[in-house]
Amino acid sequence: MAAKLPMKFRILHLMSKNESLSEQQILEELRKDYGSERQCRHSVIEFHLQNMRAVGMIQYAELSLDENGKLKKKYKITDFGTSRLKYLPRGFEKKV
Amino acid sequence: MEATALAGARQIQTEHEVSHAKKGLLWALTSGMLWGLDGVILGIALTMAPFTGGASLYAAPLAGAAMHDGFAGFWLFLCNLFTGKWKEYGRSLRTKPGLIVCLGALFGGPIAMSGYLMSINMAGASYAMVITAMYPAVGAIMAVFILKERITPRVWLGIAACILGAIIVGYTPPAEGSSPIFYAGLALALIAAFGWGMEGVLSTYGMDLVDSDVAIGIREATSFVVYFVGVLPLVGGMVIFWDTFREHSLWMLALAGLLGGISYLAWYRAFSMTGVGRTMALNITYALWGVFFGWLLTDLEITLNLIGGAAVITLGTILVTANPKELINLRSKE
Repeated sequence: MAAKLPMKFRILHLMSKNESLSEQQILEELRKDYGSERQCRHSVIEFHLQNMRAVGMIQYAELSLDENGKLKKKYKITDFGTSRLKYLPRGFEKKV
Repeated sequence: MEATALAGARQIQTEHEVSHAKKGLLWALTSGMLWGLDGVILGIALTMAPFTGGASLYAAPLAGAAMHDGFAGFWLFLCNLFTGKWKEYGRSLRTKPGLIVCLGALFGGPIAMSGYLMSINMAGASYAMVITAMYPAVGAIMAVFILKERITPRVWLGIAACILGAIIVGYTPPAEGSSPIFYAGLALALIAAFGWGMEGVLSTYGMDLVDSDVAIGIREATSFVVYFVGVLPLVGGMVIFWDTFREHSLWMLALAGLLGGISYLAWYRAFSMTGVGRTMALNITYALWGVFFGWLLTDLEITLNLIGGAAVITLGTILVTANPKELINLRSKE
């Protein structure tokens, strides 16, 4: 098991490994790594996603309303976000 | 039908994004307000023992600054402990973005603050204040070039008004005649403005991948360590530093550190949410808040230039915050 990335960085890394991800899917993936930590919750992840979208590292892949009128969204990584993966610690990809 | 549903989804999402941007502006304004109050409390602490014991001109304020950042770092660590983010310190420091935050801490902490204090001594408080008040412009210009931040002409005007207002509020006519080291003092004030501007850009760059609450915890801890190891021994400030633990001023510094910690937390959050240019413009309203809290807590008198400066800052704030929809996308796509 590799040393863990900062959670925000890990979100971007997860995005690079998937076509698109919903907030719920991200939370489920993060719980495998950070499960017992109090930061691993919806409000914190939503905050990170909003900031990452505002600076252009991720963008919407899907945007729709469910039958109850609740917003459903999925995110995907942008070219700018992909360029930031250069900061992954050396050897991280091999260990995960 | 499907197109209508999509339009509805987009509208709801836009509302969420605007709400997020508005919260960012509120954090930026909060950072300015608390920084103003922090300055008043820190000012009171520096009029108490051991800071008044005839130490060198730099030793007392730099020892105070070290205590302030040490306490701020301590309170922020407690906050991150409570929110389950304390393990992120080590994880962040093992990555380059975390180290970039540390570099920002060096610029904004020891380099800028030492430059500012030395500039006051060498060039006088008026010139030091006027030059260092330019730091939002320095930060905004660097943010445009380094982060590709979008800043509209109206926001540039708002940043300029906030800077002008801060200068009017804090300005006192300089003393006649200048010391031989006057120009070195001006250069040091420029270094301070550059340091604070650089801190904003570097930390925002690092915070693309590091949690802002953790980044500010690292920033304050780094700043304290550098003061303690590299600055205080050079200026003879260690004696004052340790003496503080036996004096009542310790509690005032702990309070100032708490206010400063929350102010910085708000500042760093706002960088990620609304961008460097707007955050710095709203942060510099601390000049106005400092006067307000000074009037409330000390014997500071309200003068005509304070009222004029307040009006100009208010105008600048309105120009900066006028259209939060601009904040939905903070940076240009290359």
